[in-house]
Amino acid sequence: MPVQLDLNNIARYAHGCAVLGTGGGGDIRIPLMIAQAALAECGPVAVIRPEELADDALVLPVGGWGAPTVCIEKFDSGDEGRLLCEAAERWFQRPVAALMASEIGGGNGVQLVSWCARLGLPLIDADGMGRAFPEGDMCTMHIAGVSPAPAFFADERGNVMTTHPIDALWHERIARHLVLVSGGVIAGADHPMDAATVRSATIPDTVSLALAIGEALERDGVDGVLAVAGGRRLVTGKVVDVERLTSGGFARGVVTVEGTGVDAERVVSIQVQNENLIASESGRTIACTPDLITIVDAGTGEAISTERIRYGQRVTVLGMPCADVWRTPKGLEIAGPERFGYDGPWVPIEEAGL
Amino acid sequence: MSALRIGIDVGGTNTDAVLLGAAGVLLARTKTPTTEDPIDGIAKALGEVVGPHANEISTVSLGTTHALNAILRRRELGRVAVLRLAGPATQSVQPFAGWPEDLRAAVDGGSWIVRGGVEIDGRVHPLDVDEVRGVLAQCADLDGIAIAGSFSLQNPVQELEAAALVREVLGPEMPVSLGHQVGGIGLLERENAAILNASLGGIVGGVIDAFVAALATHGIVGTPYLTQNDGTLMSVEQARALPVLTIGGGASNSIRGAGVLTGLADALVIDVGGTSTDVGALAQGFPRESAFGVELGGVQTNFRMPDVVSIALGGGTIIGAAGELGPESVGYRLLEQARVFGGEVLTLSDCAVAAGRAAMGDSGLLGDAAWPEVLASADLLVADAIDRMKLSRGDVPVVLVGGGSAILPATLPGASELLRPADFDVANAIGAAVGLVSGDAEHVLNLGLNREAGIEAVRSDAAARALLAGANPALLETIRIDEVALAYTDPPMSRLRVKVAGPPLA
Repeated sequence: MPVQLDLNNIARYAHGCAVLGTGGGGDIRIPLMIAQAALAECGPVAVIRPEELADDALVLPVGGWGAPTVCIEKFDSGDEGRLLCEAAERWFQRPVAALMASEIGGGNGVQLVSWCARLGLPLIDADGMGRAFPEGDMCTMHIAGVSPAPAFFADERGNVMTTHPIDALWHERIARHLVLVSGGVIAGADHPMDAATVRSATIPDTVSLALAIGEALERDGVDGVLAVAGGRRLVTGKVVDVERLTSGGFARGVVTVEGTGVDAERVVSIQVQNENLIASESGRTIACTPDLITIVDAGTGEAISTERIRYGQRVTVLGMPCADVWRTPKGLEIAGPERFGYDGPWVPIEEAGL
Repeated sequence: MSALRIGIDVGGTNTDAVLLGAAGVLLARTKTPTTEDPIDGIAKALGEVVGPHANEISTVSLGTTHALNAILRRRELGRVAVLRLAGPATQSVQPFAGWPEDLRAAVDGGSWIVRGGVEIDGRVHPLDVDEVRGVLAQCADLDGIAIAGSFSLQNPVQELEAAALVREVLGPEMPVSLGHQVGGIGLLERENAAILNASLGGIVGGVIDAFVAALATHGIVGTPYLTQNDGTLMSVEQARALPVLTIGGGASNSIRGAGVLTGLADALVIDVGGTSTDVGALAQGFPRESAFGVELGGVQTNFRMPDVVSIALGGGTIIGAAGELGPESVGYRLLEQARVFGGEVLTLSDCAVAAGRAAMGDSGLLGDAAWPEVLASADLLVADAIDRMKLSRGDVPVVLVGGGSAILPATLPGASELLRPADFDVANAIGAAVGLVSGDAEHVLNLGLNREAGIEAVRSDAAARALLAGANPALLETIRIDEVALAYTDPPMSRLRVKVAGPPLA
């Protein structure tokens, strides 16, 4: 397991986060630049297991909320992490011991590294999703019954807000309004926990996993990713159709991949709603949320986000098993196919067959 | 009335020029080696094509690699101050982040993130005018000021306010580059575009001076234009203000020229040179643009350049002892070094002659050294590039241009037909000569408001830019409207780009 994130490994870590992003979670490019600037200025970030903290140590899960397009025009002042921690410390009257990613997938797994660096805080080797999901209640803390309250928000102008939502759905609804007020993006901390709770309410070792995926990707390409993440190739081929539906402000669509080489004659289609949710072949589901479906460049193995998929790209579609907690009845209720409006039931990727 | 047009394209190897008659008839053409200072080759080519027609020329369009070479070779670049209007937002990534050190050293004249900026809904955070004045007072000895503000495409008012402060503090002579005039969505990329633009003012200004002087020397009366990234033209006044937009003219000119030579509006265009082959696409008469911004000399920008797949394959590609295909090439020395021309090196052109595809040089010189089988691997590479560039499954017409295209076969997978028009080897200069004048604009559109009014606002921004560039206002047409829905926006928003174009006013 890694002891730290630093200028040497942060790019590999970020590419691993992109693989876990299943097409969403926000682009990693600007978060990576933010993290590199902070690491260069303030030095490495220690990565620790929650077992290394005292039972009552305060851990703050953090992440960014809002529209990716806003993030490319207006990004962090760099002070957001400090504002979130100070708000939490005022409420709890004790210091924040470590930060944790609410969502490891995509840019949200990367941005907080800069906050850890600037605050001199360790990063917990765990997160609340093990991937990316579009809504804040789709996290393991929700499954474990941890309250999202109190939740803290800070924007790049220095506005700080504390909310006390009664449940995860109200938390999501209130947060989306605060995003609007702050001009489209906001930094947030929610589900504050003590370290003892972190050990049972999160998915362990996902920072290590992202880094290992990024290292394997650089070393061995797609095969390396599969060896580390434990998944399999769903198909390798060419994107022959990208149908984008523009309803409801979500990036919905269907990506069709026609197999080449050993996969010739196969056609796999992927249903997308910000993230890649369902892969099917001849009307049969071969991978399905909450299992991970990531489209990567067939040559380099780098993850391709849903906005960047286009006709003609040579890709490999990876299916990777999600953490066990998502396979419980409660987990499937929150993040299974029915939650996104598709027919169930969910079929584990190990049993779906090709 | 004079209606002749001259087009000039400066390439790495040759400077090509053509003189076109009223109906687009080719009256004269020349290929002359590109010179150390490209302006010498430009003047020579002008002299060779104009003949006795100097009084009848309506437009002279120049596509040149001066700006691109200056960036790639880090030469003759101006020193620039950067003023970002966004603070305290965006302080986590400073200007010049991610630039190669040598390029930054050549360009960086200091950078400041000052308080200000615009929100996605158009709200403006006020500038601290005294802070801006204080920064500018330190910039008097620089070559230009680059100004970029968050969401300045939504509302450019603050960039314009800062530009007025530059004039007040540093005088009207200090060049100013504004993000909303040179770049698209993405603050860092737009800021980079503004910086590169400010640093190119000197060299491109010099090219324009020399170009205008060469026209005077030959007594040519026509209006001068420069070609830009999207294959359209801009006036020299516009090119002095927005020199960075001249960087991608070359590839666009070939694609436009292929359209003119064949009369096709939609096709793939394969430009085979000595060293490399570019596959581009003609869409509704214009080069299809890349979906994402491009990196220039190691700097990420959001310029839309022609969408081109390049492969290391050309007429001069060297065949190894065991039949390996390149990637090295003899390049412009093909006529000395290839076997069929009496040289020692086996090239792809030799193989094409051996297989009966091409007739050049003396096939008797080949002996039994040639590998016609190598052509099959070359064809596969080209077919793969065609497949990547197609936007749907059906076959499409393919136009072959460029001096090396003789190495290609009579049919290719994915091509419904292969067209080899006459004068294919000066398609780039023809493309420059027939260019239209265009304007582009891009906004984020609030779909909760009046959508038609929103689209019209973007269109009228694009039209204003086309008029500035020298288009005929009576003949402006909307060429393209692209819209992409944005995730997680409430009310729903989309990103809208509009391009309008018309013939030059001259």
